[in-house]
Amino acid sequence: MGVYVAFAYFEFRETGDWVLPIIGLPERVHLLSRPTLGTALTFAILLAALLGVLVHLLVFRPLRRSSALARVVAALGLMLYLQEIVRLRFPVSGAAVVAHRPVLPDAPVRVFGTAVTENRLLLAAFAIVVAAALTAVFRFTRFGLATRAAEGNEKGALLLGIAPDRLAGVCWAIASVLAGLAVILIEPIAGLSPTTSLLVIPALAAAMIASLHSFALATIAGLAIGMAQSLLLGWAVRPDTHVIPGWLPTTGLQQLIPAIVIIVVLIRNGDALPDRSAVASRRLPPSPRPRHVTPWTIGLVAVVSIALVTVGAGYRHALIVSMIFGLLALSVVVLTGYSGQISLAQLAFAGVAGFAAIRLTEHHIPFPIALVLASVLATIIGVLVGWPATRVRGMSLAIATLALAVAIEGLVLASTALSNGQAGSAAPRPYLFGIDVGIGAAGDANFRPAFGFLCLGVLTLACLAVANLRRNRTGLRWLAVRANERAAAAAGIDVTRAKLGAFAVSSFLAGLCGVLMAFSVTTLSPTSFVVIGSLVAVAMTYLAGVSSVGGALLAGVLAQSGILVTTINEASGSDSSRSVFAISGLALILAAIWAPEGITGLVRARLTRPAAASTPPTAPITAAAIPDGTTAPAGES
Amino acid sequence: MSRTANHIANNTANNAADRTGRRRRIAVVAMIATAAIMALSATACSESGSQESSSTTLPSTCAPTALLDCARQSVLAPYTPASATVATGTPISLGMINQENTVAGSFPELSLAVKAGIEFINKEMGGVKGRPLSLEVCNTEFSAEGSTNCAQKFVQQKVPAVLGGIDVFGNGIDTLAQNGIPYVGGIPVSSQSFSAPNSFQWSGGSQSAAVAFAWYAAEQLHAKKVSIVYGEFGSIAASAEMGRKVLDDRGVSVQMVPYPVMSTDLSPAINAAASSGPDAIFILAADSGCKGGFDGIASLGIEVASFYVGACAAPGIISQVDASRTNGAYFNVEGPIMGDPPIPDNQLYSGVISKYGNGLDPVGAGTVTFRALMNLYAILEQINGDITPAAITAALEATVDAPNFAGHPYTCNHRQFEGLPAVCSPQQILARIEDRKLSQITDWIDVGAIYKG
Repeated sequence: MGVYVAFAYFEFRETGDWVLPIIGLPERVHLLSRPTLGTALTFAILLAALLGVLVHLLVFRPLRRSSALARVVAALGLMLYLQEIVRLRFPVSGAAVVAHRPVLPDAPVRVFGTAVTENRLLLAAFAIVVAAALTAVFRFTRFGLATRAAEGNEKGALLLGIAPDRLAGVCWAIASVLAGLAVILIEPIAGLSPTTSLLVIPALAAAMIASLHSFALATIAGLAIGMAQSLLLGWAVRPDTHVIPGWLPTTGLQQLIPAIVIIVVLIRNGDALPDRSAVASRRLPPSPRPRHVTPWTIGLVAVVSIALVTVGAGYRHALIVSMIFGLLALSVVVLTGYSGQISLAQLAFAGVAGFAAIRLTEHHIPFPIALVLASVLATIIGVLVGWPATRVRGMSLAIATLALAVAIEGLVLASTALSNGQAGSAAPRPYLFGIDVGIGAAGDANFRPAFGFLCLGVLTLACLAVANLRRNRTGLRWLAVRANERAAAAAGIDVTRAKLGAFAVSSFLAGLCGVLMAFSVTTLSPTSFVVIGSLVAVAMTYLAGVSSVGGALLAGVLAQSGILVTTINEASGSDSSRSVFAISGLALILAAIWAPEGITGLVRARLTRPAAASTPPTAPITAAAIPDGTTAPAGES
Repeated sequence: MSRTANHIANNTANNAADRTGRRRRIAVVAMIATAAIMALSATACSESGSQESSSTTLPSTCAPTALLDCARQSVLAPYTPASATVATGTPISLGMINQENTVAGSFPELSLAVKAGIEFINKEMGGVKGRPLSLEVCNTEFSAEGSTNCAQKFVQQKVPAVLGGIDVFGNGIDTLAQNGIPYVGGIPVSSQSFSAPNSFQWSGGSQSAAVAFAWYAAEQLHAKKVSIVYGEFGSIAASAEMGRKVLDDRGVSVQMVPYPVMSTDLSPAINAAASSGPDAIFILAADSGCKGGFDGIASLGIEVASFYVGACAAPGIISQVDASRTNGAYFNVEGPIMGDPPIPDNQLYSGVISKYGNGLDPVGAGTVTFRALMNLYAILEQINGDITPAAITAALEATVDAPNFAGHPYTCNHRQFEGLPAVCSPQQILARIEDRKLSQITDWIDVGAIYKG
């Protein structure tokens, strides 16, 4: 949001045009012929406030009662949409680029013998002033008091005549204005592009240190993290100091500081972290008991087998990609759909397993053994990453796993020893019991069906195992934990074990996906495992249906370069239209709000509704009896 | 305060998730941009030098009616017909792999420039011996699978050659190599594009830049200490190492200062670099880091020879920095700088783009792919007999000092630049900027020979 506001500001400052953020409306409206610094800043502030209120009303207010996952998905959708708007409507190259006139002066000044530019000092001062102002507002004004009252007890505040929703809207506006101003002011230092990297992770670390309560503490922590990063670089590169050993990746270490801070704070604070925006308890979509497993399995395996030997190379590749992505989606189903945990590190697990499998087969370990060993390695890392899950949940868990995913990416995946760095590694040809199951071949024979059958076999076994898991005691325990941790614990379920178990199974599946990926490409590059991929995997699985095996398979079909996209591209003869990301962003937001059960959930509802209407429900299937006699409110409705 | 806190928390958390992904991708995109604009700077700089706020019309362009006159002055002279000739024979299909319309960046100018060039060849140059060229552009969608898909599609269409655009992954090059199809030109960023046996490149990347800087600093400026500030990522980090080797060979002491490639505030890194009192600083930044480099050096108030990749001389960057901060900075370029008299290849390029480019801005990375198309066109014209992947590969590998469109004559014998066998013309020129005007200060620097030592 801040990025859009900043782009709009600079465009307005130069041309007086307001570039609209809504697809379908005209691109720009001319407002002023000679904008000044004052009018432009006023414009930016009003725009940011409006945007903040709109996002609150249209996206996050309807999601108050939804799961943290739904909000993550909606936020991802919003990000995709706004990023695409910026990319489509603000030129970044060529003659149409507008100059970015800095707001603050940037002449050098000397402080304690070191030269810095004025804008840095002014920016720091600005941050401190804003923090002081916010503190004052929230301490001394009626609005601040009301907001804090609503925080303390929402229902009580409601009874006192305070409207928490309106306050939330105002807070959204303030946050949005601050974000916009921050991006505008920091532009001379940090630059601005559709993919502008705000240092949001360090910012978040700072906010975490302040427990999301104290503006002053957050400001101090933010400045401190920045200083620590600079000092670290200084120590690392000065030839006369040896504080940091040379073999450690310097820049990876800098990135790691905020990640470590976030995790330490999360674990130390445990579940004390505020997560109170929801009015009622949030439920994940129902997880139906798998039915008709045998006919589905036989049918799908038969269809895919026939397809593998009959269709052309392009569709064969699409099938293989869909099957591999299906495994990743399956890992999301196990973790999120069955046990209610969120992980944004799934693709990082896959990456570790993929490169590990390449290294193992290079050392002449047979392919099937490497497949299992590498997936076990992913499992170990998955359990370690899942450790914070025993202390935190929901959005905080998502953040913790995200920070760890970044750490894995920066320190493990990018390491030359494992992945050979950016150049990537090529996997040796895999053999299964002496049969060549490699994917590559010359000409039309490329993407050999043998590799497709390997993927089909692995995916089928994984799906059967997951379906079975849902039906046996372990799965029921996870569902119980998902529905209500305290109730589950009271019923004698070891919550920690259940959560770590889910992380283990899920990361093993992600590991399988990573290994198959490694052997399906000519060269495996760490870029294939950037953290955005994990987000997309979670979002796609959510869209398809996060709580059933069918959802995972459908997510595979929807995957990039998968069956659906390939079919559409072949049919239209070109690749997807210009606005496809903006539209898929909107689809994600809509799904988060109106269809938390995903596409498979909608289909199932349609299929079962006539039956439910004709015959009255015999017994509520909301409670599943666990063999040891307790009842798990597993959310099966 | 719960509302604020919570909403800020949620908002920040979500954005954090998104932005981490973005930051990684920026790294990639930024790296690409560096390589891209480096090669274009020859044309771009000419413009920035001559007129500050230029529009798309260049002073030194060809008139739309006189493109063939320009072509007769250019390296295409041997293939230029006496009058405009439309190609009517069986089309020769070419493929192109590019990254367009993705969240990680879109580079349509690379294919648009090639399309404009093909239209010119088909409508005025009479095609390749009367046969028109046709082009299919395939989008990698920023994934290894997409890259492979594109290559496989072209394998099945049996195209004789595939032009490069931008492809960070390079898996498509592997697939083309399995089928013996040459991958020609583009912005080399993947390791395959630099080293695959079927890849032929006319841009030396940041590697060539670093070697040229090192040679100039050691041999011409007689520097004793050099600091190399570089984005710690892929080919940029490799370039820094190559620069270090050249300096080491000449007894210059080197301080290496990596910074996270996604960061645009280079002050801490430059501060660290300046601490050893160097005679020269190399800033191997992605283009997003250029401004940070200029500002960083200026804010330190130190007088030191500073070297930047050609990307940093792009008009869009230079115009945003106070002229006093860029004065005296060194850049690498991959073609002679347009001056007086104008260079025919560059004139032809801007003429073709303004006539056939559908409004494409000639200042941009399109120069790189346009150059590859014109070099491939010359090769196709030289082939007697069937145009097959093998014939094109053989013709390219047989080149010795062949005329290069707007660049140093090239030799594709896989031995021009040690470790980067695909590079046919790694030679660089250094230029210096004064009052936002770039002027050439060296002749061609034979980077390959210098690096070999």
